[in-house]
Amino acid sequence: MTDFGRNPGFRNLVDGPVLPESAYPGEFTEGEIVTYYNPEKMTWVERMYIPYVLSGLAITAGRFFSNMAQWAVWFFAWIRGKGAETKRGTVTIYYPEEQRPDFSPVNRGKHILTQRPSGDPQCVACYMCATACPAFCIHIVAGEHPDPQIEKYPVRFDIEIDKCIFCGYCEEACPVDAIRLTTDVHLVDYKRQRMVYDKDFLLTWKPTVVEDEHIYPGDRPRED
Amino acid sequence: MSAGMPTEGSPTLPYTQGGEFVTVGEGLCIRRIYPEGEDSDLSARTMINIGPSHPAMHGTIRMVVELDGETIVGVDVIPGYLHRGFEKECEHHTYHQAIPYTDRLNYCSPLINNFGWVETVEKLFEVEATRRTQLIRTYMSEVSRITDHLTCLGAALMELGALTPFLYMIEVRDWLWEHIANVSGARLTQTYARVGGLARDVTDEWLDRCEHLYVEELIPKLRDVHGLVDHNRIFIDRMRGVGVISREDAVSYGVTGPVLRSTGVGLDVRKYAPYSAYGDVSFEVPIGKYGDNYDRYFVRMREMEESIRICRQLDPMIRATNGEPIVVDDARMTLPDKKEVYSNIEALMNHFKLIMEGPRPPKGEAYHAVEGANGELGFYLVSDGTGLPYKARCRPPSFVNMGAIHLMLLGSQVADIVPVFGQINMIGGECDR
Repeated sequence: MTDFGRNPGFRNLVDGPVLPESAYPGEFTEGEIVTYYNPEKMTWVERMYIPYVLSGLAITAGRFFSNMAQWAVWFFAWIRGKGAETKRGTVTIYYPEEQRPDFSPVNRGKHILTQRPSGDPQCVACYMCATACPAFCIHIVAGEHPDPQIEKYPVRFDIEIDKCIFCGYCEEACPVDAIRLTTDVHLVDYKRQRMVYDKDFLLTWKPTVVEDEHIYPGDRPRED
Repeated sequence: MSAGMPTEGSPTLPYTQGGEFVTVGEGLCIRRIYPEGEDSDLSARTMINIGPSHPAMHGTIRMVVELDGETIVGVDVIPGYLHRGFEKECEHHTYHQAIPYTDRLNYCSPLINNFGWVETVEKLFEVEATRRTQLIRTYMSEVSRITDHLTCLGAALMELGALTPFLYMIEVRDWLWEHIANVSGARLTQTYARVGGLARDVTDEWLDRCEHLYVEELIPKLRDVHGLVDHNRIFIDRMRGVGVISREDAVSYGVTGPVLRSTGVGLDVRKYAPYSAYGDVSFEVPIGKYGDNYDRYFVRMREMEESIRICRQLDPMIRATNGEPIVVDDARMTLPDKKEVYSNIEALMNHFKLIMEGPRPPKGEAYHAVEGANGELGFYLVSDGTGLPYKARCRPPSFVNMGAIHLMLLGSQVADIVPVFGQINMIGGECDR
């Protein structure tokens, strides 16, 4: 037989011992682990089939009633106007009126182009995002800006959003913080042609506060 | 069968459970066994195709099955093509750009693939991730393992008709995925790892909430699933003694992961070649005994419990390293800080070089294996000193495990194909070459 015993930390179990066969305690707490349970023959209770079906029914029914009770607690709290901070029994949310409470605040969704105070894009058409993109879905045409301080700007900036894999590399690669990913995930359309987002569409996001020349606070927190 | 002449291989292959290779039809070579004392006419046998559009055949799998009544006497598994071309695509992308591809290998546990890839590249660089990175990687790998096992077992139980465990498990998986998205930025294609570190740091609140999810959601649901199916006779009849593979066969075919461990072989990469912080935590490697479906179910359930144990050990260790860097301080692979990029020309040049050329490891080759949810997931990289891998090779556990599925199926019934296949947990993205 193959000798696995030479590997440190590796149990030689091909011919070695197996886990002790013990009863199934059914409990699950720290330090106490559900042990292995696979005897060769069924017990007579298992053979009867009905008892364990009933115990399964008890589990599902228990979950149903606990959910309903929690929902009732939530409902009366909701009447008193405290629905938001009370746990609701079921996980169903009323989309799209509601958003799930644990929705990621850093979710990578629709792209935006940040703007200078004048309204021009912050982008200097350095092609870094297009280079970093693993899906090659960013297409930039550079032009000369009349302002000599800015020099270059994107004449066209297209993102094929149906090709995009939302990895966030463009955001990471941008040296001037010109492109960002918002949490918006509603990227649908009926026509494939309209799934190419151009510069004007990407610029429709308006920054609310301008604190810094370079860094505009977006709608997602930044660590840096 | 008119074309039933043996052509390839010998009937006395050391690994076969008897039987012989026969070609049937165009390019199909199936392994056929003859039940004991049976020399009935072959014309009574039926050939049927299961898949590739069968809902239980994940992705593109097709099984050509020869039946004698309801008994499977010959089977050929054709994995099909997903046309992803992972290995070839990697040769045209930098080491950094290939990380999103690894998300899509085993999309039930993308983080393990991420970490496997970047750790291989780090091996090429001969650098080691920081302590905090290693701890977080280990923690996240275990969360990913839990989500993968939940997916596998939920789907496998649903295919047996047990819809309730499926709903319970998928609900927990959804909480966990959204929770991972809270730190990585995406639910499924997380792209969380970076060469030399991580994309984002975790917070104490995140760890609190993860523990909360374990206590409030995962553990009660696991207990419920144990209560629902463990002793249920339908489940036992469908799982126990079905899809048996012997230890010798499993070892010979290179099977890894829960399928191998169900046969009693405690092979686990986390134990015999500890990577990241696995050397610092104590955990058991659950093993089975008979190598049947029931053992695989139990190995997976117990692995989730062990994952929770590992996470609970890592939790205080991660908190103790709060504020420590999550990327190595190495300009060859780590992107400089954004503030530096905005203000400092050296950092800007470094940033441009890293994006345009990618991290450029020295010439050499490296193989690194991590314990994926389905088995040993290995990456083999050859670097020629440029930013693109000269050759990338992935050792996918699903593909190797699929190579032994005929041993589990021969001699069983048609209805056993779906549970056996479900317990293999073949993932198309990983199986495809």
